[in-house]
Amino acid sequence: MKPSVSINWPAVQDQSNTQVWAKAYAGSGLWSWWYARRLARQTKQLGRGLSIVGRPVVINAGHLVIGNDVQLISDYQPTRLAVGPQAELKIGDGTVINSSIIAAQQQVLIGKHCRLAPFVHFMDSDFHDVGDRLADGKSGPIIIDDRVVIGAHTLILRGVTIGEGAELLPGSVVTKDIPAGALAGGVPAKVMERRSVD
Amino acid sequence: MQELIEGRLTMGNRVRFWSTIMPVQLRVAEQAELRIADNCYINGAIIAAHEHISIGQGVYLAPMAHITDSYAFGSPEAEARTAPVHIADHAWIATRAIVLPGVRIGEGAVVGVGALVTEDVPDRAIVGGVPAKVIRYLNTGEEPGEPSETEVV
Repeated sequence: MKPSVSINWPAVQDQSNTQVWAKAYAGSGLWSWWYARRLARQTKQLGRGLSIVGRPVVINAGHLVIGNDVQLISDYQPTRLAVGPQAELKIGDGTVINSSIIAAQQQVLIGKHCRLAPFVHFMDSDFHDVGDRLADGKSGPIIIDDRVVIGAHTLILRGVTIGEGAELLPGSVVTKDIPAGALAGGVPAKVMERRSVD
Repeated sequence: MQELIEGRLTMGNRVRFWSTIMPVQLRVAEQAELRIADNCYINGAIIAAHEHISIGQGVYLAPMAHITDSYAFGSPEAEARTAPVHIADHAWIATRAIVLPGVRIGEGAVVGVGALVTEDVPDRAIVGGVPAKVIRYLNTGEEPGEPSETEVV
């Protein structure tokens, strides 16, 4: 696919954005151009070569950082990035996010060259307490290391760290840390195979 | 929000719908009944009634929770296999949990994320997994100072 639009955005400089040069790829035409522009205004830092296919929904009240060559694809449902107040969401270079939901209430860090399959859901907070529904729930940072592959329909819950090169099978619910290079799956996710990281 | 109401839908006071993550979908077939009591919070859930679903007071339904009372997978014979679902007061059905036909979810119970509920859930139990099993029970007394453990599986 050739980039259809590549524009230097002057509008974002007054919002302390450091580097913005958003490229919207062909695939949904003017819509992606418009969404790239809107995303550029919302992010704290946006890398080069962002690729947007479809119509993502970005609700940012905190700190959103998107690295270089990130792809945000919205094939099956809109990719939703919701960053709460004083929360942080970082997406590393070359990560591909397809039709996923990321709800960051505290901190979600995604490494470089990760792949998120459709309908992956990140929740770094319980949103409300288990016993008392009116109280705030617990939250914990989600840290995804580099080159992690996450299968479709996987839920990743608060306080989880996933090691480098790990792979999650589709439909798993990750409640505990996954070591580097592991192949894990199930509800709750268990390590099925350990592989060496290259 | 998407609704397809051909049967009877009863809704109490102060029922709240959110469609921010997913659109709430309510489907009530002909001659079916869906009852939603007061103070329910319904956030992006899918409720498909083919016979009878009743939801008690103050129930929380999280995004993509799927509540159905029939094995409706397209064929008419499958749709004929229905069983009523009852969700008691103050239950919480977490994200992407699925409640199958004929299940009663107890009062104040918590269904963990991604759980597949195939059997009745006792009062104040926390269940999770596929199929859902009881993980532990919530404190029966009201102890606001008591820190609660993780809700999920």
